[in-house]
Amino acid sequence: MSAPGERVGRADGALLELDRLVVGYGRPVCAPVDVRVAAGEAVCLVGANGAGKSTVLRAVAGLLEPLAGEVRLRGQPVDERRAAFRREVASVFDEDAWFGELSVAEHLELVARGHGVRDAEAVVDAELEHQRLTGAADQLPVSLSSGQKRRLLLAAALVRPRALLLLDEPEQRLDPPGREALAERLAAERDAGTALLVATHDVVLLRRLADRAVVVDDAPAGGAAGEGAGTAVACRVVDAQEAARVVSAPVR
Amino acid sequence: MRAAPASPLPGPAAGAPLPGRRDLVREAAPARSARGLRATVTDAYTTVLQAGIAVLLLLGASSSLRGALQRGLAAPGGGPGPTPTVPAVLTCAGLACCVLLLALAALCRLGPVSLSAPRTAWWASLPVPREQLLRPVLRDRALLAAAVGSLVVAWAASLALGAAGDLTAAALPALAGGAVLGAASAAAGYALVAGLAVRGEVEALLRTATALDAAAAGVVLALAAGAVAEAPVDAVPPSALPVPAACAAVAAALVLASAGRRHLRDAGRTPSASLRRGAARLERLTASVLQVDVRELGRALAADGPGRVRPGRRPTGARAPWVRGPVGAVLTADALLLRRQPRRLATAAVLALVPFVVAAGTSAHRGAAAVLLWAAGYAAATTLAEAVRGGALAPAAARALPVSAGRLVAVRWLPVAAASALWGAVAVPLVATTSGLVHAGVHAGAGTGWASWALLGALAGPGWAAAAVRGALRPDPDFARPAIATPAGPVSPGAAAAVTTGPDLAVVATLPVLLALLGRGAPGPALAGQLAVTALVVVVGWAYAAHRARRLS
Repeated sequence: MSAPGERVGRADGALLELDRLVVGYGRPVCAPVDVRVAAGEAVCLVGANGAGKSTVLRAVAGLLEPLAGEVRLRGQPVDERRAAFRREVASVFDEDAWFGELSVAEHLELVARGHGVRDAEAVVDAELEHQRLTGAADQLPVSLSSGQKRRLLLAAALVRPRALLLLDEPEQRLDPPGREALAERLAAERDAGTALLVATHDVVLLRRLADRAVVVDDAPAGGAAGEGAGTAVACRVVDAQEAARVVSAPVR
Repeated sequence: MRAAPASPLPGPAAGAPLPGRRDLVREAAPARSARGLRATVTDAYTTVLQAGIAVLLLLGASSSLRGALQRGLAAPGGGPGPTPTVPAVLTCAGLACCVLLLALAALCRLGPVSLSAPRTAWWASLPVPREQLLRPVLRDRALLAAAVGSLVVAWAASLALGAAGDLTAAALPALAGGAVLGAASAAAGYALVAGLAVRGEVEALLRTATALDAAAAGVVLALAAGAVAEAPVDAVPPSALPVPAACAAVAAALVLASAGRRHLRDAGRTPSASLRRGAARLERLTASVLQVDVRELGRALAADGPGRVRPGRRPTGARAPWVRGPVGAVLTADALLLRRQPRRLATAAVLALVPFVVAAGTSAHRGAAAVLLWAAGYAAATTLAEAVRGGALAPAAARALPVSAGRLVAVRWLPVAAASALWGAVAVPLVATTSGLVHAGVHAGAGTGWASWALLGALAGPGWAAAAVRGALRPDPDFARPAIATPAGPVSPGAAAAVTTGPDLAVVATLPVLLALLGRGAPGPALAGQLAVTALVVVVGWAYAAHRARRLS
């Protein structure tokens, strides 16, 4: 049995390695990504709409085959089909990720119990309160507002043990207090030893959370299937301040 | 004073006089919405022609089935057991009634009366009378009900009369009468529920559909009870039918004249929100039909509205302190789904009786009974495998649990397999009993006891479950592959593959049952054969489903 706050397998070195990762659908959507994320470290992906942030995250989550390069978790290539990978990696994408006929509380509790969380009921109640979902605990997820659905997804990722959190624009559809709370919560996650890879447009979240950021931008010149990407210049890795400037810059 | 923008914004400038578009639309709308005489005649011609072709096809199929029934009569099971009776007029009538009720329920599930989504988007916001737009829709749905009703009742009549050996030229008026009765009853039935569709009461429509489904199940249960009690319902001669049939036709005509006229008059009162909701529903249903995607069609018909929102629904708290680990979590989630959709369990239970009712009522050939077992077994397993079907739509839910994709498929197959085994242990011996193949005491031969047949069915069940899991995770129809020319017209191999993925494996799983029924017993080797076939089917089904689950995630 493990507790929800327990960090699975803290590593001294890099927990996650993106080794000249090239992603896309037939053609690369962005320049290669070359970055490492250690336990207790938060790396953000920034860039314009359509730059390829979500595509990079999906490849890291094992949901998309890279065109070139490699993603490794604890030195091993990622394979999301394996139970061990699913045990260590919690992700929040922009998709329905709940059992449709279960209430909010039931879904969270089954996720927690499925991961062997001790005292799952209390953990779920606390997370519901933190996410301001206590009043919606008995509702079906489909009846929630879009912001509540987003909070449910975040809650589902946080009621279970995790070594790595992959978040795709977690601030989406949250109200301002919700964004503030999210930034605080994710910073606490990082400080407690969880590795985070977060795609975001939110300056507050960036400044509060990011140790470093990857500026995801234009695809390299070259053909399909990542040809030419191997020698292309990788996406820039910058600090949080520079990333905030990138996010705030007017779109040309 | 604000400076003028450097470049003009797209669209008409604020305050610029509009060119009286509403007036133009108001003038044009009646012309666009009106159905001229030519369109009406074309529709009627097409409907009659298509219905005629369908009747001829069905009568041909009926003739083949009739031959099978008569062969079944000539070669009954041979041994103690319920004696096959004269093919039942009432059984055929009951089954026809059952199909009509299900067809009406499906019409209710079409939702509020509405146009297609693009036409709704165009017309709903315009100030035009909606009666002219919606009356043809109501008429079309009533015509659809009438066409289904006439086909079903005429086919049932041909089966009953033909199986009784009465299908001669003299029986043609009875067939025509059956068609008229079926058409009138179905159209009247739709007229009775169409008020809800006109007023756009979606929840009431869905409740009515559920009630109609329940009524259909009730008919099957009554027929099954009659068969178990060996009630002499099948002694009803066809000559006793004209008077009640005429009365029913007159009643249906009266209903059509009153309720039908009223709904046509009120057709324009459908609220805009209901129009849009109905259009969304209709679009999903139409797309699934056009794509020959029966799985999506089932989802669309089972959906409780756009987004499946159920206002005010609060599930009873189901905290599960006994759950330990991911397997327990998945099993509990799937069990809760079935608990909240009890109609799936009821459907599976009723499906177990359908082969029995048909075999008992019509003395169908044992091969035909095996075909019914295949269809009903696959359908029952499919409805019980809803969690797998739902998981294919939202794979991320299960991905959050620490269980591998392959193991997840196996975990979800297990309860379906157990339920299907129970289903087979009931359905197979019931059919064997009706076919006179269950012997007891001194008459008992090798594998002819109830327990042997029940074991055979229980062994076949997991195979049907594996087929259902395979079908649940099959890909969508692929129309990109070139069509194949056949004598019946072009066939899309991608669509055909999608439709047959699942049922194909169920055929294999049912083969030993068929052989046992034809061989009049389920002795040890037959049971061993079923076990081997089921094991093969399970392995094939799991491998396919696990492969698909990995791709879906």
